[in-house]
Amino acid sequence: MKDNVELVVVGAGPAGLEAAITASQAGMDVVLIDTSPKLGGQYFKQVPESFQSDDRTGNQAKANKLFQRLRSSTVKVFHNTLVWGIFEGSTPGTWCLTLYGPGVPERINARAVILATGAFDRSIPFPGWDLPGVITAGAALTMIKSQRILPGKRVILSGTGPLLLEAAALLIEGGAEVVGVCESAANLIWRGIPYLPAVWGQWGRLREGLGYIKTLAGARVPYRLGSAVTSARGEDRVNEVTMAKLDRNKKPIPQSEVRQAVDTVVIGYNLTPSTELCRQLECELEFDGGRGGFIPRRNERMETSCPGIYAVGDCAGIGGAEMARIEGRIAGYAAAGKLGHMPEQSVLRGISREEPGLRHEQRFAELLGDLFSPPAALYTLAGPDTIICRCEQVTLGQIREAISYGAQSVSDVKNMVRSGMGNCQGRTCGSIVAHILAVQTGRSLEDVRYLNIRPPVHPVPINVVEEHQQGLRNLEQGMARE
Amino acid sequence: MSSDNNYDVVVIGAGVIGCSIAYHLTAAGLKTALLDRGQVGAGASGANFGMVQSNDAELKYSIPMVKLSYSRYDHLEEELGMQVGFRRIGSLRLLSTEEQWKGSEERAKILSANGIPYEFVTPDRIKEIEPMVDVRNLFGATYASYQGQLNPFLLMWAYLRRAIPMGLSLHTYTEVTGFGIDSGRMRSVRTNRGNFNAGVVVLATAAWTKALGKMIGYDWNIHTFRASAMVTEPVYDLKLNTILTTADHIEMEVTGKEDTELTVLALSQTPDNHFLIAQADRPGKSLSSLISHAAPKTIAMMAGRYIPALRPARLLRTWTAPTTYTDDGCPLIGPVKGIDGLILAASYRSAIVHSPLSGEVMTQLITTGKCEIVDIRPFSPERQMQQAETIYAVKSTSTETDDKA
Repeated sequence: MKDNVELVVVGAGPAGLEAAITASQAGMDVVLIDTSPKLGGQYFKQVPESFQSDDRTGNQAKANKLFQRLRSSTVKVFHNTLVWGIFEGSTPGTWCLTLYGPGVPERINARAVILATGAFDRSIPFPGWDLPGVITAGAALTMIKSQRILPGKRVILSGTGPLLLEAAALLIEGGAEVVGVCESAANLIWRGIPYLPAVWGQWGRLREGLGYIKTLAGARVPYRLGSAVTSARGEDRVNEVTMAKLDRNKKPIPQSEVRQAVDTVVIGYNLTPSTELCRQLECELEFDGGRGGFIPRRNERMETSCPGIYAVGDCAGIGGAEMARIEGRIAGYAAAGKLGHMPEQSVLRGISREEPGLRHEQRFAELLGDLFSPPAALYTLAGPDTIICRCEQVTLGQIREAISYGAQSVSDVKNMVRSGMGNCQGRTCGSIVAHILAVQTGRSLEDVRYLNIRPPVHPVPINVVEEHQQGLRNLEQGMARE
Repeated sequence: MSSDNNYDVVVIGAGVIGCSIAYHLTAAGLKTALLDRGQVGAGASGANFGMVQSNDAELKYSIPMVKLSYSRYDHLEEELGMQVGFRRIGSLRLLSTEEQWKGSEERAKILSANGIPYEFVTPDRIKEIEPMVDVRNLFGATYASYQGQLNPFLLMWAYLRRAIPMGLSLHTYTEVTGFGIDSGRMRSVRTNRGNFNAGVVVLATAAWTKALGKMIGYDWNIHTFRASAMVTEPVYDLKLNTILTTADHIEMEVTGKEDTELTVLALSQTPDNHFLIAQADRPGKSLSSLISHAAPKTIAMMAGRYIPALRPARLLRTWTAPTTYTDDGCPLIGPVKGIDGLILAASYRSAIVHSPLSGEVMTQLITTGKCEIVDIRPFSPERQMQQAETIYAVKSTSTETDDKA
């Protein structure tokens, strides 16, 4: 199989699809790689045919149009494939991506790479957050949308942001009893007024949001602004939570605590950009709390500090699907221009056509980022015995002790107690430890930095890394030998 | 940064050497700052197997220093009041041919004469020591039964945990941009986070020493290569008793014939059952911490070739760090001629074994002006070097490529 291409796009969500289509229409040779079996990513997730519903939001129609355009393009798609590593290539100015998937080459060399790897859920730890039955909003949405599984019968949701509302609405429609939605932000309307111009034109989204709120109201589900689930209890599974109102500084008010019997807790404190591949290459990052923390520094063409590496969509800062699509197209033009498939003038024309829309989306993202930032004070909910790093089973007490030895960055803490050294390389605990460290030492989140990510992005078997296909087949047949 | 940026000593490089030096200086009452361009242990100190290795000593001058420093480990955890995972463990180097043994014969003689166990063992004996090894194609092995292993991060933090409450000022992510030198005397260190004034500056900077030297007109004899390794998830059904290495190597091009990864097998199982697998060496001047596309593949190939049962194990992470060697295999330790107050403590072979003593040596040197603990004259930064035994040199320097990242 051919293993040299002009452009590899990683991630087949809204950003990656637009990028791949735009670049291939300019005449580029494009491979699009995604870990899932279908196009769409999280936002345009394709559900089994028998699950197709009425498409109230119009998302399905939009997605289908995009899929259709991709299918009629020359883009080659590798499904079920993990890009586990990204390296400097064997000729200067090229990049080498190592792959793990069925029937795909073990490595592919590209002259340009567009990273469109999306985002993942952000959690804030509290006593009991690691009990079975406590799940993220993203997990809840996936279970309901693509597997038609109700995660529980009696559910409480806690966190911040619109994703929580969507999860609540779908849980109600699926037949779950939702006992409440705790939104840590307060005074949403009052604080939103300065941003009104940014909301102008976001009618589709407002309609979507209002639809969810209507569903909540119809089921008489309380939407509790300025509150949070502060602990969960249970033996084999969660059976009770405590929720509390938050004061002005977002600290729980003890007198306001209420206990509630539930079998499922859905947590979603907005999203974290999936910057792993950028960090593997040590692209320069900058801190933007409202966009999800550390994100790659980019020029106006979406190119990172590594020449030929572009980052678009939520992986470059939380901004939503519309912004992702615009950024994807811009990067598509830029990559086509860089490799000589498009004259500079056309690149500039293409980019300037996208600019008004991009600015509009940026203002809206700023609004959402400001309204729904995970409150720092909630990072004090965990107790000394609460597990913070689930992979390596590291408790808050151990992390505090490491900090007391003089740790100055999340890497220092990791090196002492292994938080972030496990399977997920700190995807979940990295930013949690950063908050704990910042609070305990008085440093800023920017100052305590982020964890290095090294290949592989997810654990892969040694026989895949040695590119030993025969060995792999033998193993699959249960015969581990040379 | 605090307004009081005046120190007795600034130590640059928070690795296993720099942390020990900073600890001993602070304990001796000197106002000390420790700087690093990254986090603690960001260079080679945080990228190795934690081997406390005496069998690797340079044979002509280093053995007394290595032995003395190794003996400090008998009480180090007690002294520092913290467990650093230290344990005694043997090390076994598999030999495929008689020639490979011939290359180690002199080493075996000298080490044994100096009380460092190091012997040739037959394939049958290998089987007893390490049942997991397939001995069919082996000529034998060298076996160093009295080596050690620890967690290098915990070692560094054990020093710092003691030193910081005593007044050590630690500055991570602080990169040196220049030196303030006034009429031949060290006055200050300039960094991206302000100036640090001190009359004495110690460079415990391993691979970065050469670049720092060039800032002030020195070109010390230090060569750089990048060493890479990887770690698996815990593997519970395989048991390794030693640190296992091979004399055989494979070579794979990175960007061309002049730029290759040279990979030997080095294998170790941590107390919590992760396998550490190394190592691929890439000669060159680059200090980049990005692993090459060739290194994970060659390391995995070596692991699969010698221990096929490891193949299904999942790889958690790979990494790389620049490390160094000198032409004569000896470190650079001592005052730099021409700049009063500038001292080197760089390019140790097997730095961890040297860690405890390096701090004592530097502290005595700085407080008394001389070193009586061990003879450090052979390690003078300005010495004329002769090419020593080359088995540890990665590749002859003539093939060094300037592979800037």
